[in-house]
Amino acid sequence: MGGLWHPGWRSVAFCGWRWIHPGSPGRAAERVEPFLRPEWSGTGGAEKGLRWLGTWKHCSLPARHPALQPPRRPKSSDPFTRAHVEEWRQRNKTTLTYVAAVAVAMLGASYAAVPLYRLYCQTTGLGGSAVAGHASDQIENMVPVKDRIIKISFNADVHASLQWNFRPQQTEIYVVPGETALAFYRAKNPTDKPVIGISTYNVVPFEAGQYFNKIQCFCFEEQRLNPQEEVDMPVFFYIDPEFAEDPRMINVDLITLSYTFFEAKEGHTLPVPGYN
Amino acid sequence: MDKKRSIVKKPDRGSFLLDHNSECTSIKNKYLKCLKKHNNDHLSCRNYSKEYFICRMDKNLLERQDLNELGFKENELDQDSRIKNFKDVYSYNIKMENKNKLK
Repeated sequence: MGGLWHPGWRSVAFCGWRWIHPGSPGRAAERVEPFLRPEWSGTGGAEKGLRWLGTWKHCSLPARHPALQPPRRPKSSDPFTRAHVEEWRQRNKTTLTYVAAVAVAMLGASYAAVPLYRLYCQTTGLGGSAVAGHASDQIENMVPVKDRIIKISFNADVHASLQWNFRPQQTEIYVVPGETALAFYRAKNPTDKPVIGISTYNVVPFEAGQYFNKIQCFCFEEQRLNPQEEVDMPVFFYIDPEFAEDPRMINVDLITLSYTFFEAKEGHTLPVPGYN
Repeated sequence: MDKKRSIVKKPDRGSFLLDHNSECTSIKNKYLKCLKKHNNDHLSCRNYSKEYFICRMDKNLLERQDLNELGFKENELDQDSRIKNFKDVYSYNIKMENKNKLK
Protein backbone atom coordinates (compact mmCIF):
# COMPACT_ATOMS: atom_id res chain seq x y z
CA MET A 1 0.00 0.00 0.00
CA GLY A 2 1.49 3.28 -0.98
CA GLY A 3 -0.30 5.31 1.59
CA LEU A 4 -1.19 8.92 1.23
CA TRP A 5 1.87 9.89 -0.71
CA HIS A 6 1.43 7.45 -3.54
CA PRO A 7 1.65 9.21 -6.90
CA GLY A 8 -1.83 7.94 -7.66
CA TRP A 9 -3.20 10.39 -5.11
CA ARG A 10 -1.46 13.30 -6.68
CA SER A 11 -2.81 12.57 -10.11
CA VAL A 12 -6.27 12.20 -8.67
CA ALA A 13 -5.91 15.48 -6.85
CA PHE A 14 -4.62 17.37 -9.80
CA CYS A 15 -6.15 15.53 -12.69
CA GLY A 16 -9.59 16.70 -11.75
CA TRP A 17 -8.41 20.24 -11.67
CA ARG A 18 -6.95 19.92 -15.10
CA TRP A 19 -10.10 18.43 -16.44
CA ILE A 20 -12.27 21.28 -15.23
CA HIS A 21 -10.36 23.84 -17.24
CA PRO A 22 -10.67 22.97 -20.90
CA GLY A 23 -8.44 25.85 -21.76
CA SER A 24 -5.49 24.21 -20.06
CA PRO A 25 -2.50 23.93 -22.32
CA GLY A 26 -1.55 20.51 -21.03
CA ARG A 27 -2.33 17.47 -23.11
CA ALA A 28 -3.74 19.50 -25.92
CA ALA A 29 -2.54 16.98 -28.46
CA GLU A 30 -4.56 14.24 -26.84
CA ARG A 31 -7.66 16.31 -27.01
CA VAL A 32 -7.16 17.45 -30.56
CA GLU A 33 -6.03 14.14 -32.05
CA PRO A 34 -9.43 12.43 -32.50
CA PHE A 35 -10.69 15.43 -34.46
CA LEU A 36 -7.82 15.17 -36.86
CA ARG A 37 -8.63 11.56 -37.73
CA PRO A 38 -10.48 11.15 -41.01
CA GLU A 39 -13.11 8.73 -39.54
CA TRP A 40 -14.19 11.08 -36.90
CA SER A 41 -17.83 11.98 -37.31
CA GLY A 42 -18.67 13.09 -33.77
CA THR A 43 -21.21 15.76 -33.34
CA GLY A 44 -20.87 17.43 -36.69
CA GLY A 45 -18.63 17.86 -39.70
CA ALA A 46 -15.06 18.84 -40.08
CA GLU A 47 -16.04 22.48 -39.74
CA LYS A 48 -17.12 21.79 -36.25
CA GLY A 49 -13.84 20.20 -35.54
CA LEU A 50 -12.03 23.20 -36.93
CA ARG A 51 -14.30 25.48 -35.04
CA TRP A 52 -13.40 23.55 -31.96
CA LEU A 53 -9.79 23.97 -32.84
CA GLY A 54 -10.39 27.67 -33.37
CA THR A 55 -12.04 28.14 -30.07
CA TRP A 56 -9.32 26.00 -28.61
CA LYS A 57 -6.80 28.56 -29.77
CA HIS A 58 -8.72 31.28 -28.00
CA CYS A 59 -8.77 29.30 -24.85
CA SER A 60 -5.03 28.88 -24.70
CA LEU A 61 -4.97 32.50 -23.42
CA PRO A 62 -4.10 32.66 -19.73
CA ALA A 63 -7.00 35.00 -18.91
CA ARG A 64 -10.17 33.00 -18.99
CA HIS A 65 -12.97 35.40 -19.80
CA PRO A 66 -16.35 33.67 -19.49
CA ALA A 67 -17.40 34.89 -22.95
CA LEU A 68 -14.35 33.36 -24.60
CA GLN A 69 -14.81 29.94 -23.08
CA PRO A 70 -15.95 27.25 -25.46
CA PRO A 71 -19.38 25.87 -24.70
CA ARG A 72 -19.10 22.75 -22.62
CA ARG A 73 -20.25 19.61 -24.31
CA PRO A 74 -22.17 16.96 -22.44
CA LYS A 75 -19.62 14.45 -21.36
CA SER A 76 -21.36 11.29 -22.43
CA SER A 77 -21.74 12.11 -26.11
CA ASP A 78 -18.09 12.86 -26.72
CA PRO A 79 -15.83 9.77 -27.25
CA PHE A 80 -12.91 11.95 -26.34
CA THR A 81 -14.29 12.76 -22.90
CA ARG A 82 -15.34 9.14 -22.47
CA ALA A 83 -11.72 8.12 -22.43
CA HIS A 84 -11.08 10.59 -19.70
CA VAL A 85 -14.06 9.43 -17.76
CA GLU A 86 -12.79 5.89 -18.04
CA GLU A 87 -9.44 6.94 -16.76
CA TRP A 88 -11.00 8.82 -13.91
CA ARG A 89 -13.09 5.81 -13.05
CA GLN A 90 -9.96 3.70 -13.00
CA ARG A 91 -8.28 6.13 -10.67
CA ASN A 92 -11.31 6.22 -8.46
CA LYS A 93 -11.20 2.46 -8.24
CA THR A 94 -7.60 2.43 -7.10
CA THR A 95 -8.30 5.18 -4.57
CA LEU A 96 -11.23 3.25 -3.27
CA THR A 97 -9.10 0.14 -2.94
CA TYR A 98 -6.53 2.06 -0.94
CA VAL A 99 -9.13 3.60 1.32
CA ALA A 100 -10.75 0.23 1.87
CA ALA A 101 -7.35 -1.26 2.70
CA VAL A 102 -6.72 1.50 5.25
CA ALA A 103 -10.13 0.93 6.82
CA VAL A 104 -9.52 -2.81 7.11
CA ALA A 105 -6.08 -2.18 8.57
CA MET A 106 -7.56 0.13 11.19
CA LEU A 107 -10.11 -2.49 12.11
CA GLY A 108 -7.38 -5.09 12.41
CA ALA A 109 -5.31 -2.74 14.54
CA SER A 110 -8.20 -2.18 16.92
CA TYR A 111 -8.53 -5.92 17.40
CA ALA A 112 -4.81 -6.34 17.88
CA ALA A 113 -4.74 -3.54 20.44
CA VAL A 114 -6.41 -5.66 23.13
CA PRO A 115 -3.70 -8.33 23.57
CA LEU A 116 -0.97 -5.79 22.92
CA TYR A 117 -2.25 -3.54 25.70
CA ARG A 118 -2.46 -6.49 28.03
CA LEU A 119 1.16 -7.30 27.29
CA TYR A 120 2.18 -3.71 27.87
CA CYS A 121 0.36 -3.57 31.21
CA GLN A 122 1.91 -6.80 32.38
CA THR A 123 5.41 -5.65 31.65
CA THR A 124 5.11 -2.15 33.03
CA GLY A 125 2.49 -2.62 35.71
CA LEU A 126 0.75 0.59 34.78
CA GLY A 127 -2.95 0.91 34.26
CA GLY A 128 -3.96 -1.19 37.21
CA SER A 129 -3.62 -4.66 35.82
CA ALA A 130 -1.98 -7.66 37.24
CA VAL A 131 1.73 -8.19 37.26
CA ALA A 132 3.08 -11.71 36.97
CA GLY A 133 3.57 -13.30 40.36
CA HIS A 134 6.93 -13.70 41.98
CA ALA A 135 8.66 -17.01 42.08
CA SER A 136 9.42 -18.56 45.45
CA ASP A 137 13.16 -18.32 44.90
CA GLN A 138 12.77 -14.58 44.70
CA ILE A 139 11.30 -14.56 48.18
CA GLU A 140 14.11 -16.77 49.43
CA ASN A 141 16.80 -14.49 48.11
CA MET A 142 15.13 -11.24 49.04
CA VAL A 143 17.26 -8.94 51.13
CA PRO A 144 15.33 -6.73 53.53
CA VAL A 145 16.01 -3.03 53.31
CA LYS A 146 16.67 -2.39 56.98
CA ASP A 147 16.74 1.38 56.92
CA ARG A 148 13.27 2.03 55.76
CA ILE A 149 10.33 1.16 57.96
CA ILE A 150 6.81 1.22 56.58
CA LYS A 151 3.67 1.25 58.62
CA ILE A 152 0.95 -1.00 57.26
CA SER A 153 -2.47 -0.23 58.61
CA PHE A 154 -5.41 -2.54 58.19
CA ASN A 155 -8.96 -1.87 57.27
CA ALA A 156 -11.93 -4.20 56.96
CA ASP A 157 -15.22 -3.62 55.22
CA VAL A 158 -18.27 -5.64 54.55
CA HIS A 159 -20.83 -5.17 51.84
CA ALA A 160 -24.24 -4.14 53.10
CA SER A 161 -25.92 -7.42 52.17
CA LEU A 162 -23.39 -9.53 54.04
CA GLN A 163 -24.03 -9.79 57.75
CA TRP A 164 -20.64 -10.94 58.87
CA ASN A 165 -18.61 -9.20 61.54
CA PHE A 166 -15.31 -8.68 59.84
CA ARG A 167 -12.42 -6.81 61.43
CA PRO A 168 -8.61 -6.76 61.55
CA GLN A 169 -6.91 -8.19 64.63
CA GLN A 170 -4.10 -5.67 64.72
CA THR A 171 -4.45 -2.02 63.87
CA GLU A 172 -1.06 -1.68 62.24
CA ILE A 173 2.24 -3.44 61.74
CA TYR A 174 5.71 -2.10 61.04
CA VAL A 175 7.71 -3.86 58.36
CA VAL A 176 10.59 -3.11 56.07
CA PRO A 177 10.62 -3.83 52.32
CA GLY A 178 11.76 -7.37 51.70
CA GLU A 179 10.45 -8.77 54.96
CA THR A 180 7.58 -11.24 54.84
CA ALA A 181 4.92 -10.46 57.41
CA LEU A 182 1.83 -12.10 58.79
CA ALA A 183 -1.37 -10.31 59.74
CA PHE A 184 -4.77 -11.52 60.90
CA TYR A 185 -8.36 -10.64 60.27
CA ARG A 186 -11.31 -12.15 62.01
CA ALA A 187 -14.74 -12.92 60.62
CA LYS A 188 -17.85 -14.09 62.41
CA ASN A 189 -21.10 -15.32 60.96
CA PRO A 190 -23.80 -14.33 63.47
CA THR A 191 -26.67 -15.68 61.40
CA ASP A 192 -28.26 -19.14 61.58
CA LYS A 193 -27.42 -20.12 58.06
CA PRO A 194 -24.08 -20.94 56.45
CA VAL A 195 -22.94 -18.01 54.40
CA ILE A 196 -20.37 -17.95 51.64
CA GLY A 197 -18.37 -14.79 51.26
CA ILE A 198 -15.75 -13.68 48.82
CA SER A 199 -13.40 -10.81 49.28
CA THR A 200 -11.27 -8.38 47.42
CA TYR A 201 -8.72 -5.90 48.59
CA ASN A 202 -7.08 -2.68 47.66
CA VAL A 203 -3.98 -0.82 48.68
CA VAL A 204 -3.69 2.88 49.28
CA PRO A 205 -1.67 4.78 47.98
CA PHE A 206 -2.41 3.26 44.58
CA GLU A 207 1.13 3.53 43.29
CA ALA A 208 2.38 1.48 46.22
CA GLY A 209 0.02 -1.31 45.17
CA GLN A 210 2.46 -2.64 42.64
CA TYR A 211 5.00 -3.30 45.41
CA PHE A 212 2.52 -4.93 47.74
CA ASN A 213 2.79 -8.64 47.10
CA LYS A 214 0.67 -11.19 48.84
CA ILE A 215 2.05 -14.66 49.18
CA GLN A 216 -1.12 -16.07 50.59
CA CYS A 217 -4.35 -14.61 51.84
CA PHE A 218 -8.06 -15.27 51.80
CA CYS A 219 -9.15 -13.17 48.88
CA PHE A 220 -10.78 -14.00 45.56
CA GLU A 221 -11.88 -17.42 46.73
CA GLU A 222 -15.12 -18.37 48.34
CA GLN A 223 -14.94 -18.73 52.08
CA ARG A 224 -17.71 -20.51 53.85
CA LEU A 225 -18.71 -19.78 57.41
CA ASN A 226 -21.08 -22.02 59.29
CA PRO A 227 -23.74 -20.51 61.53
CA GLN A 228 -22.26 -18.75 64.57
CA GLU A 229 -18.77 -19.58 63.48
CA GLU A 230 -15.83 -17.27 64.06
CA VAL A 231 -12.63 -17.84 62.16
CA ASP A 232 -9.15 -16.33 61.76
CA MET A 233 -8.14 -15.15 58.33
CA PRO A 234 -4.43 -14.66 57.87
CA VAL A 235 -2.68 -12.58 55.26
CA PHE A 236 0.95 -13.28 54.43
CA PHE A 237 2.59 -10.53 52.45
CA TYR A 238 5.73 -8.55 51.79
CA ILE A 239 6.69 -5.24 50.27
CA ASP A 240 8.97 -5.60 47.28
CA PRO A 241 12.52 -4.36 48.07
CA GLU A 242 12.39 -2.25 44.92
CA PHE A 243 9.99 -0.03 46.81
CA ALA A 244 12.97 1.60 48.49
CA GLU A 245 14.47 2.52 45.14
CA ASP A 246 11.42 4.07 43.56
CA PRO A 247 11.68 7.86 43.69
CA ARG A 248 7.90 8.17 43.63
CA MET A 249 7.67 6.26 46.89
CA ILE A 250 10.09 8.44 48.75
CA ASN A 251 7.43 10.05 50.89
CA VAL A 252 5.35 6.96 51.40
CA ASP A 253 5.55 5.80 55.00
CA LEU A 254 2.07 4.47 55.44
CA ILE A 255 0.34 1.86 53.34
CA THR A 256 -3.23 0.90 54.07
CA LEU A 257 -4.51 -2.53 53.20
CA SER A 258 -8.25 -2.64 52.93
CA TYR A 259 -10.31 -5.81 52.53
CA THR A 260 -13.97 -5.93 51.59
CA PHE A 261 -16.18 -8.98 51.88
CA PHE A 262 -19.15 -9.62 49.63
CA GLU A 263 -21.72 -12.30 49.66
CA ALA A 264 -21.05 -14.93 47.04
CA LYS A 265 -24.13 -15.92 45.12
CA GLU A 266 -24.67 -19.46 43.92
CA GLY A 267 -23.28 -20.06 40.49
CA HIS A 268 -21.52 -16.72 40.21
CA THR A 269 -17.78 -16.65 39.78
CA LEU A 270 -15.74 -13.62 40.64
CA PRO A 271 -13.43 -12.57 37.82
CA VAL A 272 -9.99 -13.01 39.30
CA PRO A 273 -7.53 -10.23 38.45
CA GLY A 274 -4.79 -11.10 36.07
CA TYR A 275 -4.80 -12.58 32.66
CA ASN A 276 -4.33 -16.29 32.34
CA MET B 1 -1.26 6.46 31.32
CA ASP B 2 -0.69 7.52 34.90
CA LYS B 3 -4.33 7.14 35.68
CA LYS B 4 -4.72 6.48 39.37
CA ARG B 5 -6.12 3.05 39.56
CA SER B 6 -5.82 0.51 42.27
CA ILE B 7 -3.50 -2.33 41.39
CA VAL B 8 -4.93 -5.61 42.57
CA LYS B 9 -2.99 -8.82 42.25
CA LYS B 10 -3.65 -12.46 42.78
CA PRO B 11 -1.84 -13.95 45.76
CA ASP B 12 1.19 -16.00 44.78
CA ARG B 13 0.03 -19.13 46.53
CA GLY B 14 -3.70 -18.70 46.57
CA SER B 15 -5.81 -18.82 49.65
CA PHE B 16 -5.24 -20.02 53.19
CA LEU B 17 -7.54 -22.82 54.26
CA LEU B 18 -9.87 -21.67 56.97
CA ASP B 19 -9.04 -22.90 60.44
CA HIS B 20 -12.57 -23.96 61.31
CA ASN B 21 -11.50 -25.89 64.39
CA SER B 22 -9.30 -23.12 65.79
CA GLU B 23 -6.31 -25.44 65.97
CA CYS B 24 -3.70 -22.78 65.61
CA THR B 25 -5.53 -20.02 67.40
CA SER B 26 -3.41 -20.21 70.54
CA ILE B 27 -0.24 -19.49 68.61
CA LYS B 28 -1.96 -16.70 66.82
CA ASN B 29 -2.92 -15.18 70.16
CA LYS B 30 0.71 -15.38 71.33
CA TYR B 31 1.77 -13.60 68.18
CA LEU B 32 -0.75 -10.84 68.66
CA LYS B 33 0.24 -10.38 72.29
CA CYS B 34 3.87 -10.10 71.24
CA LEU B 35 2.95 -7.47 68.69
CA LYS B 36 1.18 -5.41 71.32
CA LYS B 37 4.18 -5.64 73.60
CA HIS B 38 6.61 -4.50 70.93
CA ASN B 39 4.57 -1.63 69.53
CA ASN B 40 3.42 -3.67 66.55
CA ASP B 41 6.91 -4.10 65.21
CA HIS B 42 6.80 -7.22 63.11
CA LEU B 43 10.46 -8.20 63.29
CA SER B 44 10.27 -8.68 67.05
CA CYS B 45 7.63 -11.34 66.72
CA ARG B 46 8.84 -13.24 63.71
CA ASN B 47 9.42 -16.40 65.70
CA TYR B 48 5.75 -16.59 66.57
CA SER B 49 4.73 -16.26 62.96
CA LYS B 50 7.19 -19.04 62.12
CA GLU B 51 5.54 -21.19 64.78
CA TYR B 52 2.16 -20.40 63.33
CA PHE B 53 3.22 -21.72 59.96
CA ILE B 54 4.67 -24.85 61.49
CA CYS B 55 1.39 -25.43 63.33
CA ARG B 56 -0.57 -25.02 60.12
CA MET B 57 1.62 -27.49 58.31
CA ASP B 58 1.27 -30.00 61.14
CA LYS B 59 -2.50 -29.83 61.13
CA ASN B 60 -2.69 -30.10 57.35
CA LEU B 61 -4.00 -26.63 56.94
CA LEU B 62 -1.08 -25.75 54.75
CA GLU B 63 1.02 -27.85 52.42
CA ARG B 64 4.50 -28.71 53.59
CA GLN B 65 7.14 -26.40 52.34
CA ASP B 66 10.51 -25.12 53.33
CA LEU B 67 10.26 -22.12 55.61
CA ASN B 68 13.04 -20.47 53.66
CA GLU B 69 10.69 -20.23 50.76
CA LEU B 70 8.41 -18.18 52.95
CA GLY B 71 11.15 -15.74 53.74
CA PHE B 72 12.12 -17.08 57.16
CA LYS B 73 15.83 -17.33 57.48
CA GLU B 74 17.77 -19.51 59.85
CA ASN B 75 19.11 -18.01 63.05
CA GLU B 76 16.74 -15.14 63.30
CA LEU B 77 16.89 -13.79 66.78
CA ASP B 78 14.10 -11.94 68.44
CA GLN B 79 14.83 -8.30 68.33
CA ASP B 80 13.50 -5.51 70.37
CA SER B 81 11.10 -3.17 68.65
CA ARG B 82 12.80 -0.96 66.10
CA ILE B 83 10.20 1.68 66.41
CA LYS B 84 10.14 1.91 70.19
CA ASN B 85 12.30 4.98 70.51
CA PHE B 86 10.75 6.87 67.67
CA LYS B 87 7.64 8.96 67.62
CA ASP B 88 6.64 7.71 64.19
CA VAL B 89 7.90 5.96 61.11
CA TYR B 90 8.87 9.19 59.43
CA SER B 91 11.31 10.16 62.14
CA TYR B 92 12.87 6.68 62.06
CA ASN B 93 13.36 6.88 58.31
CA ILE B 94 14.85 10.37 58.47
CA LYS B 95 17.26 9.27 61.18
CA MET B 96 18.40 6.28 59.12
CA GLU B 97 18.80 8.42 56.03
CA ASN B 98 20.99 10.90 57.92
CA LYS B 99 23.01 8.08 59.40
CA ASN B 100 23.71 6.72 55.95
CA LYS B 101 24.66 10.13 54.64
CA LEU B 102 27.24 10.56 57.37
CA LYS B 103 28.91 7.22 56.59
